[in-house]
Amino acid sequence: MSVKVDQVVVQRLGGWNLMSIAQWRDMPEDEQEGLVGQGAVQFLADGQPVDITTALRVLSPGPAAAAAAAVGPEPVLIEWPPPAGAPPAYTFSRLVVAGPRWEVLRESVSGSTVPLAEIRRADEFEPYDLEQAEAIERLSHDLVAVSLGIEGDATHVVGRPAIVDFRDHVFRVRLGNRAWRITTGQVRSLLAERAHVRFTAGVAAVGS
Amino acid sequence: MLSTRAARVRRLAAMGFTALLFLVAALAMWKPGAQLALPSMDGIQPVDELWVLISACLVFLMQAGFLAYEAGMARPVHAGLVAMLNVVDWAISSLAFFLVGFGVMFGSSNGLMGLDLFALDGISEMNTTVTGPTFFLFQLAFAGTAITLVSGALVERITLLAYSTLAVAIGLFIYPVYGHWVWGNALNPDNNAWLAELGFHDFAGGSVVHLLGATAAFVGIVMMGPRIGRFAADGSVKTWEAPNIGITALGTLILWFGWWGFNGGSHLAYNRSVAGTIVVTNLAAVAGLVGAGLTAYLLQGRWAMNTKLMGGALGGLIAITPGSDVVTPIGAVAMGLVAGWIYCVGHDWLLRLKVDDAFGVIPAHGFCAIWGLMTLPLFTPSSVWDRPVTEQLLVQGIGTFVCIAWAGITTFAVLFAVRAFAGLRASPLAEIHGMDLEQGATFLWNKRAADARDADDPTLVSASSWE
Repeated sequence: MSVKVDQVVVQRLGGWNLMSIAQWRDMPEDEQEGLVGQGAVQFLADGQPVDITTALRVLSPGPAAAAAAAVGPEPVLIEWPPPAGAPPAYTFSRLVVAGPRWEVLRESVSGSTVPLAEIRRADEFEPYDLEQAEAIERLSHDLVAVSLGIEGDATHVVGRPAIVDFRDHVFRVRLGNRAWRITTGQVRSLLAERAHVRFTAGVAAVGS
Repeated sequence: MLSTRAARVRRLAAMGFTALLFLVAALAMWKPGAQLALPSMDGIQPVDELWVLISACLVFLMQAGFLAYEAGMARPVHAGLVAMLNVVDWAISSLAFFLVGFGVMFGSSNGLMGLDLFALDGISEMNTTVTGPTFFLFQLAFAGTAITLVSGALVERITLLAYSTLAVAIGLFIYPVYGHWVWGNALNPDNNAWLAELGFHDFAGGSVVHLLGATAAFVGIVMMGPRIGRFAADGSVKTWEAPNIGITALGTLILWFGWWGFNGGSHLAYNRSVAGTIVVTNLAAVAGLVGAGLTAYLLQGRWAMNTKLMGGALGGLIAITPGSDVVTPIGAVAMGLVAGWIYCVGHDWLLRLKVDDAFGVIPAHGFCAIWGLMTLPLFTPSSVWDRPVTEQLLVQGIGTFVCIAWAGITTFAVLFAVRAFAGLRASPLAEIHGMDLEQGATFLWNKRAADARDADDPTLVSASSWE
């Protein structure tokens, strides 16, 4: 394994604490499992985030690694492009819209923007507060759903393990609580790299 | 879930804060206290009063100096928060010092700390060479300096909450208790300031302000660990040069200017020693810059030369601070030159130890303060001391050790509690990509620097309209 994990950061209430690799290894396994399950741990190699499954495989091939791997059902096979035709391409952007208020916008090729939360939860509209675990999962779900052109609940199509996997291994590592932009094609490419989802078309076609 | 618990705590904190606001308002209405109008100014020379007031303003200006010094060195995606911390901590230290700290430092002593003058109750009747309120303002500016310098070591990773908590603790008791031991008899001569009575000499705060702040910063650095990415996996240091050395240079000059009031005003009067104090202060700064420049150029291959020049000047200013009333001019030059060398060597030594001191607080405010405190008897005429110089050196060592021990233990206790309950650091992604937005500040510099960083990531298209 070429990754050399050299730092661990674990979350407390509002902030994070740095921990040495030795301290992580000395931690009881149930505590490790708890942190992994809550998404409250981040591994780093040479100053860059490392995928949690890879990191745990390197560091502690025990229950925590199993929890992170979350070996669930067989990968879901998704037909792509869908029979009805691929949905329009969008770009999602997370930015500050007014004062300190964050918003995730869905931007079409023509340049028109709509708050993503408004599209996905018209009846219970509220912005994604990424300090709330539920909001992180909901946003992960919505990014996946829009990228796959799924109108309602995407869990029935791709399964919850795939959403959780996207949340923990893509959203937390690559996006997170800051400003970012990502396209629907990029979301699909990242999904295709994960174990829980398999597309009928190749990755190149998925990303287009 | 963890975040839900965090949200619940945040809601509770918001309710507690609101309740506190009304409680404070109710208390102020119930017991408004006396106005800060003086019964008389008998015995006060207007020129003394004016000079110390001006000095307080100069010391306050140092807050702006620290802000510019740090903002110029901070990585662009963190610079906004770095600037904000320097403003926020002034507000925090002002409130903490006004409510409790000033009383602990200068109130009637029980041997360890003061027990009155809280919220300035009774300050109008307390005069020294200047009026009580002027004395308070001058001391408040000092407390603010002790607190704000800590931020220079911990920024780019500490959360606003953790830093604010530490700032409150320093303003409430860490700074005032030690200050009471050294300067506690300044306003009330009957007080037992045990280090002062032992003969410990710290004229303008080499230990009380600088070493205390640097010790707190050092403990914070050790407890938090380095900034993500500062040290490569092979242990090598990643070079993060100051992105705007011009602003850092401006900050250095503002600090330099403010220091004339810091040391000159510490006479608490406009007497025949003030000008001499300012002259030796300036000489030490000049020598510090030259010493650092020569050290960086001749001995260290010009690595981080610009920041070392600025740090060396500060090192000279800090080294002269405790003895700026007694050190001779040539002594000031010698102290400054060595301080410049200490700054450079200390700066690189800490990096070798993987101690990530963001803007060189420890070598300047720590090592150079120790140098100044421990050696000041050697650069003064022996007639200054009423004991052998060797004995004075011993006393200086005791005072320095007590400062490090007190600030180290108390800061550890405070940060240990914060680390256990709330965590000390911002999220890893915020550290890597910039704390400015996550922690509530906005960008200080052109955000293209942040965009360029994100452009390296093939997944992320950099934002063009972040605000």
